[in-house]
Amino acid sequence: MKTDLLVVGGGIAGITAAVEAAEVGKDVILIEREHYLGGRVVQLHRYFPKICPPTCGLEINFRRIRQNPKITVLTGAEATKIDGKPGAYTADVNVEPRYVTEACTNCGDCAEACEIEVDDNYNFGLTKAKAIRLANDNPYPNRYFIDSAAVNDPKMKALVDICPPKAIDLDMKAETVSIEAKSVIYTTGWEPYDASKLEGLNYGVLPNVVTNMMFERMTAIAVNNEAKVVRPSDGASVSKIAFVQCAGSRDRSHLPYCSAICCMASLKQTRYIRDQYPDAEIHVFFIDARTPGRWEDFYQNVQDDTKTIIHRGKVAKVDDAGDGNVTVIAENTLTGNLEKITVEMAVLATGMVPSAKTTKPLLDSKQDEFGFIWPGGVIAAGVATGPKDVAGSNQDATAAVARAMQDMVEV
Amino acid sequence: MLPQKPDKKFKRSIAESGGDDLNKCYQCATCSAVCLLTPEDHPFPRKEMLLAQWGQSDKLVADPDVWLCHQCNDCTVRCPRGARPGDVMGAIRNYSFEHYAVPGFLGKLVSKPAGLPFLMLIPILIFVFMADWSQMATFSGHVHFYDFLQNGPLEMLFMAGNFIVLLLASFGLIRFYKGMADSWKVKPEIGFIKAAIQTVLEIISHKRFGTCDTSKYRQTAHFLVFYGFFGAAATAGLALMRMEYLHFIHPEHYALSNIPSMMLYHPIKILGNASGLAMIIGIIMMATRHSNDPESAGVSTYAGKIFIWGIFGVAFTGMLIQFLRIGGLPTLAYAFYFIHLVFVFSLLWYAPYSQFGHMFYRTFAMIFARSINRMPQKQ
Repeated sequence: MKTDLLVVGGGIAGITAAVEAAEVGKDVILIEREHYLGGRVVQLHRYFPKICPPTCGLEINFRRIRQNPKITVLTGAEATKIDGKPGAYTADVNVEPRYVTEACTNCGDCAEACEIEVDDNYNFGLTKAKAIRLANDNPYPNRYFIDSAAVNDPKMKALVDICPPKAIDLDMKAETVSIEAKSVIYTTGWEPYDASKLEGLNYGVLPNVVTNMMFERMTAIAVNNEAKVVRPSDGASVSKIAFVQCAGSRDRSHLPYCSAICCMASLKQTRYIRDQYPDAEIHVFFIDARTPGRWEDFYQNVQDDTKTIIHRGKVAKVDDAGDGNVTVIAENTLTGNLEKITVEMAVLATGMVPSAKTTKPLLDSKQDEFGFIWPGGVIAAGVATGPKDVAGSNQDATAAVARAMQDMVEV
Repeated sequence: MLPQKPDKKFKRSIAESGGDDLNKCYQCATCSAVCLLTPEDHPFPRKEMLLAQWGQSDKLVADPDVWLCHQCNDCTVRCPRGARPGDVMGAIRNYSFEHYAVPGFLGKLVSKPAGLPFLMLIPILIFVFMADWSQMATFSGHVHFYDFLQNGPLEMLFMAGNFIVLLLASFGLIRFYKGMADSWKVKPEIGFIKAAIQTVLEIISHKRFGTCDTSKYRQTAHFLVFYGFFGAAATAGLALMRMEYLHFIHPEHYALSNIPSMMLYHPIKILGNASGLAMIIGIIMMATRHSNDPESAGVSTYAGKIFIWGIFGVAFTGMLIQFLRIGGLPTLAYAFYFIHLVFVFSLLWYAPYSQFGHMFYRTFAMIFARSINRMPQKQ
């Protein structure tokens, strides 16, 4: 396949880069490792600061992709080799089968009949997932897929006949696609930091200690089911909750940098609770509230909520308080007292680790010690270049397209 | 109260004695929240970090919390910035020794390597004049330490010296205690004597050390050195009493050159050897931890080193002269006896100005804290 631009990573930055380049007339191939586009954004319940659902932004972008013949999207696709120089790159991309053909009509009969359940990484293991499913509520491509972990399950064969349009093809094979591109943009995004490494906070030990990304999914699932968010251990409603900022961020033993979005994300999440539980007591513990610019308004609005108590002091310990409750321990540096507050659940604001830290870019690249990609090598955008919010990722992606277009100039 | 003008000399001193990462602190208070020894009300060491950053030495030298810290270093290990609060607390304590030193110049001399030769010279000169150097010419045979250095003058020197040292130390301690009372402004809940008795009982039990998380080994290490030291001191006292008052000095007791005056199974001998061994083992525990895990053991400082090596010197030379005496090597035995005494007297005479002074300051801080019911948080 020949194209002008290859975009590696189909999160919000990759989508923006692809759309921006295509809309000025460039051919684009967008590859994404998962079977859906949208990356971390599609997992969110709401964006800040307007508290609108991420479908707002994604839907319009998906339509721009769908309507634009210049964009080719490959999902389940991972580059295995990229060579060349500006103006002439070649790439090998491995495309994993999704075992469901384009004949799929999204009727859902397969999922209803499917008894096989697999680990649900999309929901951070909060639930089990059907082996054949739609990736999310707003999937692109809007088509079912079969989890590769369960494709060899003997019970899977029965589903082939259940599918009315006969769209299930269990013999689908992985294939390698060769691509020639004039430029490449890396928008490989981020992974949440592994909270089980945070000593003292007991994530993974106490079931009611969850991460901020888990809390997004918990809330999204609850709201989709027209229910309230409940704590994981026993489904109890929430009357007292704590948000623990800088869980691993700005910490030489974990992530020495600030992940930039967690303060706003947690302040936003306090509003999820407030919407559902008007009387709930919400505690936020931070080192500094990093809410620059117009985010400051959002922070002040949260401060105006008399039942949202903001403590200046980092939580160093989360202890078991029995009955599923947990005690968060911090010094409130404004009152100078040690606070031990027992809550029903605690949300750890874990930071962003660039995916490029473990999956190194296949082209020459300059990366800092944390794995973020710096200018000077491969063109990159979004959280791959540094922690940032959705708007920042989009700006970064647009700028990256401007750089990539210089590779496309014929001399 | 108006804040003190930042004390630059204090800040320099903190940086020089282990607290050079102080300014990395961004006041997240992880340290106070992980500390197992801090009271819940106005916990340490976060507030001390801030006061130290601002150079508020007046407040810090009158802060009992600086001494309630036993330098477990749970805070240092967990500090997200690597500001090493445990070492900063240690550096503030080092500063306090100098601050409360009477006379002041001794505090300065003890705190710097340059002062060491002068400090050592004092006991060396005293013993050079006191010793009967002709005894050194005896290259083999009986070892009679009292022939080399007479017991009487030695005892005089010991008692008079200790009296003066304690007198000088008490000036600093009274200022320290008054400082704490003035800055804390809390009415004591229990009297000084009662608080003192409870504190001494607690120190004897070493219970507070056991609360540490990262450095639990120090409960054992300090226990060994602590009891080893008092055991060794008791040994010296008992041995002298035995000679002086029971008149056990008779040449027939040394009839054979390689049989000691007291058999190894004599209770005083057992006490002495057990004490010496305990000190050496305790110090080896501390030293190995220092080299294997410097973060949790705390940074090596000059003050820490001379104190540890001082104690080690006392224990090591004490054990050594015993073997030299059993071995019948008078010249070497006298030479090391001389060194042993230099170590012992240096340790005692400079105690209030060195880290040895922690036994005074920490005890008084713990008494004060107990009197105002400022106790470690309940676990």
